[in-house]
Amino acid sequence: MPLYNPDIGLISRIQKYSTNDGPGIRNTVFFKGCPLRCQWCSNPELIRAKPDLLFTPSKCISCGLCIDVCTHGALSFDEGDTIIVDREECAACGECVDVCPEGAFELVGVEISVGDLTAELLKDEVFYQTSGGGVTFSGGEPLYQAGFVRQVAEGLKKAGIHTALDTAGDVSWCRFEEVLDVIDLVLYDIKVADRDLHQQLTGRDNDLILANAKMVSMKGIPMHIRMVIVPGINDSMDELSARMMLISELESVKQIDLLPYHRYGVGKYAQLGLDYQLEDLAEYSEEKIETIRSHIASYGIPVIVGG
Amino acid sequence: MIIPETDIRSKNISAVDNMIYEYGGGGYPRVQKVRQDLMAITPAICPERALLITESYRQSEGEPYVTRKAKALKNILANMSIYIEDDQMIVGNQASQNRAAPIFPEYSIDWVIDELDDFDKRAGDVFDISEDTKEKLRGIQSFWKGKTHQEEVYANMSDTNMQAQKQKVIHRGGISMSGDGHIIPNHDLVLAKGFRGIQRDAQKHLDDPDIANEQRDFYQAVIIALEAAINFARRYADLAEQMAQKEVNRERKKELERIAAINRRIMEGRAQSFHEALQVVYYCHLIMMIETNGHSFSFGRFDQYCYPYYKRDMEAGLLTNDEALELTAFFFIKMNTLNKVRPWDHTEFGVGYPLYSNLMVGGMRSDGIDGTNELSYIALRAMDLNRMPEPNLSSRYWAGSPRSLLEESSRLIREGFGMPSLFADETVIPAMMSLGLPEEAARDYASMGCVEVAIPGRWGHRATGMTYMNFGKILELVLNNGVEPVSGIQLISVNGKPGRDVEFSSYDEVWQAWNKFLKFYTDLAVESDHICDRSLKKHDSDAFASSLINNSIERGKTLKNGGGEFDFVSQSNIGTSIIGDALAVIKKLVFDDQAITFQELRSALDANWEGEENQKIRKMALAVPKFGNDDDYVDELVADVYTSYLDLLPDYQNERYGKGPIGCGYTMSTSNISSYVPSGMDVGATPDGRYAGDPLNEGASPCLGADKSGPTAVAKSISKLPNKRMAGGQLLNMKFAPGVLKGDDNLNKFISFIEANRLLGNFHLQFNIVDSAELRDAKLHPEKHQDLMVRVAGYCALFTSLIPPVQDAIIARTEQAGF
Repeated sequence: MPLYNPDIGLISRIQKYSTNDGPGIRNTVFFKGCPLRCQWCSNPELIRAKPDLLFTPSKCISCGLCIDVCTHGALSFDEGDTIIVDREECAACGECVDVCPEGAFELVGVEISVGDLTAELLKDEVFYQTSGGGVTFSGGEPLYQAGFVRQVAEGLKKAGIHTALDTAGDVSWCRFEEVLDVIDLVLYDIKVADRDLHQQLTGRDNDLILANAKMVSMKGIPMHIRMVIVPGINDSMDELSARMMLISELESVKQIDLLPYHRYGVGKYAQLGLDYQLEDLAEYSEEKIETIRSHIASYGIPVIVGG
Repeated sequence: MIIPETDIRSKNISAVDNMIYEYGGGGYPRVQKVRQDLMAITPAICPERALLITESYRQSEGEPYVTRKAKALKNILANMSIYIEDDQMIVGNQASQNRAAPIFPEYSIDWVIDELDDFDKRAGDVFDISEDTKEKLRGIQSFWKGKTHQEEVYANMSDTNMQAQKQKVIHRGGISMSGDGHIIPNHDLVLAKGFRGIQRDAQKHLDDPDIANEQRDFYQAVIIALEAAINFARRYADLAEQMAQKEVNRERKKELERIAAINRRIMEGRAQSFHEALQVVYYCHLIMMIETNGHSFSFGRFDQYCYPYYKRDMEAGLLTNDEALELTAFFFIKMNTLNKVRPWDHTEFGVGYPLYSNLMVGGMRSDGIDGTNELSYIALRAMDLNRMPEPNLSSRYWAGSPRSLLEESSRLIREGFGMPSLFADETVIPAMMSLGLPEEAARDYASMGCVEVAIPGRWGHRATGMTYMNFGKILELVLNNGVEPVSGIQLISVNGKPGRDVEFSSYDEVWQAWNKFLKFYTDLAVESDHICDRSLKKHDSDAFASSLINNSIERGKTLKNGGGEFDFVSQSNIGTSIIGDALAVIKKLVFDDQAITFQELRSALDANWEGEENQKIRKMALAVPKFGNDDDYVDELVADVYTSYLDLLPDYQNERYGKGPIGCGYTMSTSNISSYVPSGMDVGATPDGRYAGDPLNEGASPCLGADKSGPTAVAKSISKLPNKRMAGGQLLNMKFAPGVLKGDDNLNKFISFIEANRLLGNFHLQFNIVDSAELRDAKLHPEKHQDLMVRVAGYCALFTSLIPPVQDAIIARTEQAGF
């Protein structure tokens, strides 16, 4: 857990007219930094709690301007004329982003103050009003920056705006306590029920996650459970049933958002110089999603596909 | 305060609520068949009207022009080919076959002859033409030499105005070579009195011995024109009778007999049924489009004036909602049989065979109560069945609208062909009142074309689209001390010196120069409007159309002569957003931050951003805030651009000033159809980062690809503009991917988005619901996407009929995909 200044947040961006992260029209803020390493992660640029450099080789014209300006020696040509990013050396300072004529580099992660972010989110107040929407803190893991989230959420609540927290829950309970009194809805990821499988697929066990989920529920804060399903990975009937048994015990759960695996994020792995573990995995058919949906729906909690 | 305290919501919608309708264009097989038959026809050029008017004009030499025009209309309506399509219930054709365009040689003929061999080879808006037709048209060219509207305009145009045209600042679109159009008839009046009733009124005035000669000529022309119109309907009665005798199908035989009966008595007095009312409204439209060749002849508030006829039939048990829907769908499809051919360089300004015949539903009535009724919904559903570009369907909405109106409107929008567009009463009504209109009149507004608005039945020709002004070019001239880079022409300078050398020491100096240039060119554009209008006063002597608008009959004047009750015009201003974005770059980079000098910026523009250093400057320019992202820095500059033009307008009057109509002033409009594409072709690189020749921005929408913060930010940016002063219409076009509206939950969010736009004080909204992959595929494989309709600007067109650069521009518009 890096030290951080609760007056400054590190976010990737704000998604406006966000329609799938809670009720109504929302602004979703994506925070950087996450304790989990889920194999299917579709936002790998949000994992590190630092700015990241994205590089798109197809845009590169091999002019070498970036090599000249890089003061960290992180950029070089390979044997041919392809740029190589040395991720160990790269400080994501952004010099190459500024100089590249083709826009082949992109920096993910900007620091923003509580005041600036709050002001930006308040801009869409009229849309929250007409739609019953609001703001969702997502990520990454927004609770890595709980002190910052709290201050922003507090400002929003003062303006009467609905707030939602989209968390994977793998943080100490005190992080929740920092924010929950200014959060109206918790979107809570429960990715795998089986403890060992969870460890294997995400790099962490789910003890803390399940304990925190119970605590949130006991506080009576409305929850939507976000159930990611990945073909052949965490979608066996046993696994789904076990997850539903856990979820059924959470009394404040109002809805389940079933999130079928998709591959929109695959390209970002290459841009970050990371390997994608599920290289050959195909997305679900609509029929298969329907089968799973109806199974989950049989537990009596409303299910929305896509969330 | 426009919201009254009484119960404002409509109470008339219960009956249609019981009628189950699934959007998706299915069902109603007869409607589908008529539609398919029409879709299968390729537009063509029809010579009949041209020959018949020439024949009539040969015989009427020396008579008053208004009489000649009325006699020509009579000759055309009496002798043109007529036909009734299989299964159609509404009759009346404009030319010798459906979708064929007649020719109007009295306005201009030379371009027709010049382009005869090209009509069927165009890149878009193709027209078939036979060798026989070409011969016939060539045969009449010499008769019209020296007699046309176009020749009169150009004989009177000042040299400076012609120079400004060469500089590409001024574009005289239709007004210099065709009729004016832009009329919404007083349908209440025609439906209640018939043409015969109006004719009697004209006769009464004619019997007054004290009238002036000009009035006498007008009344006589009205009587001739309306008689011709009534006899035209009788021709269809005869034809329907003949067809009924030969018809073997029992049901169709009955229908033909009904059509015959309606057309036999039609226009002798009050319409007798909903079916007859539709036929009356269609005849008004059709005959106006045979009389003169403007466009944007519009239908106004269809659900208001047709409602008494619908209701009476329903209450008498003579009509069901199903039948009303089917008839309305036939009526809508019928509008698509009409066509207009324009010269190629005008076609680029408005592609897709547009007629811009707006038809409006919903909204506040003049008494402040909501007017939504069953017909509002029937029109939305009929449009779902019709799925063709006409009518240009619009919904009005306000605090008193039932949510179901927005819901059905949204369901139709979700079908993905761009209709209806939405007008917010709380903005449009104050905008109309800003012209000095009484509140009751303002409440009755309707769109006349794209987003321009007028008061139905009470407004002279032409709410907008007089001379087009290329704001992008004016900015380019400011940066070059008035020297137009291509032509080298300099009509005005920043510093009083010839040549393009210029220096600015502050942003304020740039702004002052903009204002100076804008006034100079607006003066010229107004002069151009006047010259065109003076010529149209003669050539648009439209006794028929004028008789359908308030005060023409009382005054004994055509509309162009000052017959209308209200009369305001606007030009079309192209590139407001791009000017603001460009000014933001100059302000920030050159003056606020002093990151580059003005000369460095200008040489980068001269080089069209080419070269390493210039690319760096372009990158800096792209990083400056852009309109459409809810950023006050630039949004305020864009608002300044609007204000700079609006503040000039009180000094201008149109040609009818002092001749009777209320107003006769100017207003502002961003209804500039697809002109942002060809206008952009004339403008070099601009400081916002745009390359030479790329499109300017569309309407009031952000520049192509500049809106990167989603639709809410676009709506917020637009809300900072002086929308309540934009009585000529403020166009905002948004393209949504289909997924954004999928399912009821998303549909509700979409409705909330529309509602928020109203609360923000935005004027107008329209949507493209398509994904860019589909559009790209449609460009490559037009044969697979014949149905794909898109919003071009203030109107819709079949995507495959558009020219490639316009297709590209639509694809490039930022896709507002939600997560």
